[in-house]
Amino acid sequence: MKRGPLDDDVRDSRRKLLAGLAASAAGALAGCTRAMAAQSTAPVAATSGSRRRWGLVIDLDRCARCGGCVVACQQENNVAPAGSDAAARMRPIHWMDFLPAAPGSSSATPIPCMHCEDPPCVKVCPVGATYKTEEGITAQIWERCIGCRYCMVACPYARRYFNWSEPRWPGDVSSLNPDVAPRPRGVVEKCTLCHHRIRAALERARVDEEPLTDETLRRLPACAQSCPTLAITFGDLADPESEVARLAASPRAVRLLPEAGTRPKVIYLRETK
Amino acid sequence: MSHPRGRIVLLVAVVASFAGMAGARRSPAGDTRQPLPMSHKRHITKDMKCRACHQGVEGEAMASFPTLADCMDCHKTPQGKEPAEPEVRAFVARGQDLTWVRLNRLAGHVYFSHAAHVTLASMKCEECHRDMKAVDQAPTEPDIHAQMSDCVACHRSKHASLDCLACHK
Ligand code: HEC
Ligand code: HEC
Ligand code: HEC
Ligand code: HEC
Ligand code: HEC
Repeated sequence: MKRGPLDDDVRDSRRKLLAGLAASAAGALAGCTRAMAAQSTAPVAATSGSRRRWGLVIDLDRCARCGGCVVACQQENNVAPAGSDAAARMRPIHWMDFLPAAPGSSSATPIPCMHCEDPPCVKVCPVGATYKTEEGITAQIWERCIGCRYCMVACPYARRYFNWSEPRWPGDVSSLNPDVAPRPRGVVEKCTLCHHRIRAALERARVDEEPLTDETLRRLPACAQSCPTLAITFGDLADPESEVARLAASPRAVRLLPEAGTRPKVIYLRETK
Repeated sequence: MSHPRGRIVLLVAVVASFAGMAGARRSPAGDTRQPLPMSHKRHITKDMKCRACHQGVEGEAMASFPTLADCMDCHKTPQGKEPAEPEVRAFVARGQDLTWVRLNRLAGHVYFSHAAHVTLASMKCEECHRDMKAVDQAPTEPDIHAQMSDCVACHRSKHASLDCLACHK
């Protein structure tokens, strides 16, 4: 059987457990050359059936660390800017954020939700507000969320945020994106891989009776669309013809915290320097 | 007893009020928040389908409302004899736009798509809305009071999506 980018990587699980995410990033980005070299020999293949697996590849060689993706994500998804109060309490919300530079990596790393194949956050939600969609997105239904925050504790990547206060936007609420519902106080929110754009693209293709091509998908999420160096690529990891699948098969491909067994669908291409 | 002039005034008043009622019957007001009293019944014909005015209904999520320019395709010249009809041109003369009041509005966290139902599922408007061909006045109340269970019941029976993210945003 061919190995897919989503298959459990046995080598990954053998890697020693690292203390924190930054340390893990360091390991993943710099310390795993041997494992990565081995991985490069594994061909990319579609997983069974035609089920889509949405994912991102982030090329750290291309990434200029400009932060454009962070801003674009915030605008697109109606993430309220933290007031000085929230900022002082270290409570700003960033679905896409930069983590401190990992040792061995030249600088900070942009990190959205990993959309794990085996998401620990989903297992702990007592009300089913978070679940994995058939196409592999870790979804969160704000209306259902009761704000218990178990999922925040469970997420090894700290990619979930609690709304400690009612969101406030500068200016008029009519400037908000109508495709994304604002989250009220008391619920947890997270990256959706710009699901609203995926949903619209799928619907558009069906209504117009046009095939949904990899070209239209590659820059679909706001982060990928805004990236000036084209470091972020989106697409169907289960489609062997897709750009993401091709990139995910690179010898430079690494995943964050592989030892957590979460099998992220956000894949990094570590720096070559 | 009463002055003959008073009787005439009364008579005029009575006649005027009947005329007023007849006028009301001929050009119905309906929802007075709408910029113009427009009758669906008079407009929906063989050549005038819903999509002529609700242009998004087949290809977009929102059905959308017509603009003054859409009305002027016909109303550049007088149409019929209804008293409200010249009002259409009066809007153009005043340089005013038509801002229709929208009645049906699902909760802000719900995604609904007309294209998915009208085009992909080939559904008729009347499966969800009142029969507009019979509506002579601008409706004052929404005609859809959807609970999640209503959407889900039909989706289940027609094997449409039950994924939370299909309908939620
Ligand atoms: C001549 C243009 C025109 C045509 C044709 C037309 N509509 Fe409308 N429609 C309007 C306008 C204008 C409004 C808003 C004002 C009103 O209700 O009179 C409206 C309102 C509606 C509403 C209420 C929407 C809401 O929630 O506020 C529905 C439902 C509707 N139309 C359905 C239909 C259907 C179904 C058809 C075809 C059978 C149709 N319309 C044809 C112009 C039109
Ligand atoms: C396809 C041509 C056409 C278009 C487009 C059209 N109308 Fe009309 N309209 C007519 C005709 C024909 C009549 C006369 C019908 C009658 O009196 O029975 C009429 C009558 C009317 C009347 C008076 C009768 C009534 O409906 O109460 C109003 C008001 C009116 N139109 C408003 C509008 C508005 C507003 C629009 C744009 C949303 C519009 N029309 C678009 C053809 C059109
Ligand atoms: C499956 C049920 C369904 C069908 C079929 C349907 N609608 Fe709707 N319609 C709705 C719902 C639900 C809303 C409220 C949507 C919202 O709040 O996002 C709505 C809203 C509207 C509105 C006002 C808001 C908007 O979207 O612009 C118009 C106008 C409208 N519909 C016209 C039509 C016409 C014309 C047709 C037929 C061609 C049609 N609808 C078919 C369910 C339906
Ligand atoms: C009378 C039946 C019926 C009702 C009521 C109905 N739907 Fe649907 N809906 C369908 C069908 C059938 C489809 C499948 C269309 C397709 O994909 O071919 C569909 C598709 C959809 C889709 C696209 C799903 C996808 O696969 O991406 C959305 C979103 C949706 N409906 C939302 C709603 C919402 C919200 C409501 C309630 C306000 C609703 N529907 C009520 C029959 C219905
Ligand atoms: C077919 C469309 C559809 C699907 C699928 C759907 N919902 Fe809903 N949901 C709705 C609509 C429409 C409303 C708004 C009802 C209202 O305004 O009263 C709603 C409302 C809600 C609410 C608010 C409380 C309530 O019941 O009104 C919650 C919580 C919710 N949905 C959770 C979910 C979850 C969790 C799932 C997946 C298991 C899901 N929904 C799937 C259409 C849908």
